[in-house]
Amino acid sequence: MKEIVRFPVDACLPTAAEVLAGQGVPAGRPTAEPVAESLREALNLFQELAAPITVVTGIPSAEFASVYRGEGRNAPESPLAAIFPKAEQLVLFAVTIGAPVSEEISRLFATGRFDLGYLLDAVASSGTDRLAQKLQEYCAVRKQERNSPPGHEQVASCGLRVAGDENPLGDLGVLGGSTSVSGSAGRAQAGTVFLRYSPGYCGWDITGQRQLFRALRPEDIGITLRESCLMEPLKSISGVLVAARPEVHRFDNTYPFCTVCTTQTCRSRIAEIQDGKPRKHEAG
Amino acid sequence: MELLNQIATSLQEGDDARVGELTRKAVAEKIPARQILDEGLVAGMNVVGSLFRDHEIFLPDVLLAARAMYAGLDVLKPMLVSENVPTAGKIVIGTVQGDLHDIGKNLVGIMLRGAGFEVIDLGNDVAPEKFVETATRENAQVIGMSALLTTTMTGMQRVVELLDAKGQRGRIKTIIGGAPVTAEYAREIGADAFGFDAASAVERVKELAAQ
Repeated sequence: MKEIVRFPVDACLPTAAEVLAGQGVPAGRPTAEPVAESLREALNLFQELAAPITVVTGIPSAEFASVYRGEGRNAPESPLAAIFPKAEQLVLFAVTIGAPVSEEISRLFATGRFDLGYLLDAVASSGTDRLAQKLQEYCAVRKQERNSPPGHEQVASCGLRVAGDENPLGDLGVLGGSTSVSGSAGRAQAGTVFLRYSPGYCGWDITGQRQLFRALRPEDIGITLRESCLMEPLKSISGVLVAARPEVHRFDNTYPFCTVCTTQTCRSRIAEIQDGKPRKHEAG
Repeated sequence: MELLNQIATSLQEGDDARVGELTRKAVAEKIPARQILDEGLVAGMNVVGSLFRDHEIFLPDVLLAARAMYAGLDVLKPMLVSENVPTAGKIVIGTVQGDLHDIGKNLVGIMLRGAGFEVIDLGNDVAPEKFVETATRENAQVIGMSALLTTTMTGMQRVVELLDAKGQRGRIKTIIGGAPVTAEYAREIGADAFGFDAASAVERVKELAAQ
């Protein structure tokens, strides 16, 4: 079932510390006042311009196998190829903070305010990552609700469903209140963890975007795909949310493509599954 | 010279208003534009580049310093032109066809200008032919290309091939960079250099321009 979920901007607004950490600035290091001032301005612009929206749809494993296969350009062996057949649930997703932020970044560079443009880009990357994180948590809570006895509903923080074929939470409205999930690994129920995987990473070739787009149709929330597999708006993330037991998500970074990976974020994600601590949001 | 040292220091602090004011003062004191540029602005940016390489400062600090440098350059530009002061070299940069990511390319352009290069920025989604035509017409020494997608990296190879076909390879050097790009890929397609990040790209371009 396809579902469009909106989140308020505050739900995906990164902290100044997160943005600076994404720029390699060590925690606790004093920030020069002009940089701090530009960063505050960038955070304000993000709040003003971002319009976070997401779309999800569940997909059976057999159908996802076809989506994953894409155009046959994946690495011969990859973590996701081993993980998804063992999943309890697979959910295709796409998130975006919209085009106005990217347009403002371009405008700032063009008018010589590249310090602010650069920081707004960093804020937007962190914010988009946070949005995907919020969606992951939302899906985990939804899964938990389905597995809970009647009258035992829990709600995700700040998700607003705007379309969908079923609505187990009743009337449309902001799903406020406490959240039952924390960190990157949205925990759907004891032992089940949601993690996301995207084309272009970990052996899933970026041309896989084409099949993913055919199955999900994120054009409904304004995300389009170029011939080069580039998503527009630029600050968008797509992929699959995999619900599985923690041990299913674990893998070693010894694949051939790991040697050229400059982020290695899989390590922190897997570590989080093990220690249950919330991860830091990364700039994308 | 104390005034030029003050320009360099204010630039390192990212104080664009002060750099503009001091540069105007230096001009009023009849200090040659070339000397203000080399011993004030570029000297300050060199310190910034060095601190950045040593992880003493980070990109946001570098960009503020660059903005201050531009404030000084705006004052000096008419004099640099009238005095025929040569630049460190001319480079054409752009993000390859099919790709709209341009933050990395923009950073390289800003830092190259800070190092005294004349930069022609073609923007993003640039066709291979446009890189070659512009570099040939503008008599540029280097073409710099950026890509963030494996699907668009092939455009870089096309530029090298076009330069080869037009007999310009060797005269016009190429440097490539971007998240999926590696030194190995640069060698594979015959590019002259690979920039791991903006700071290293500037160093490689200096080397290429000196050849």
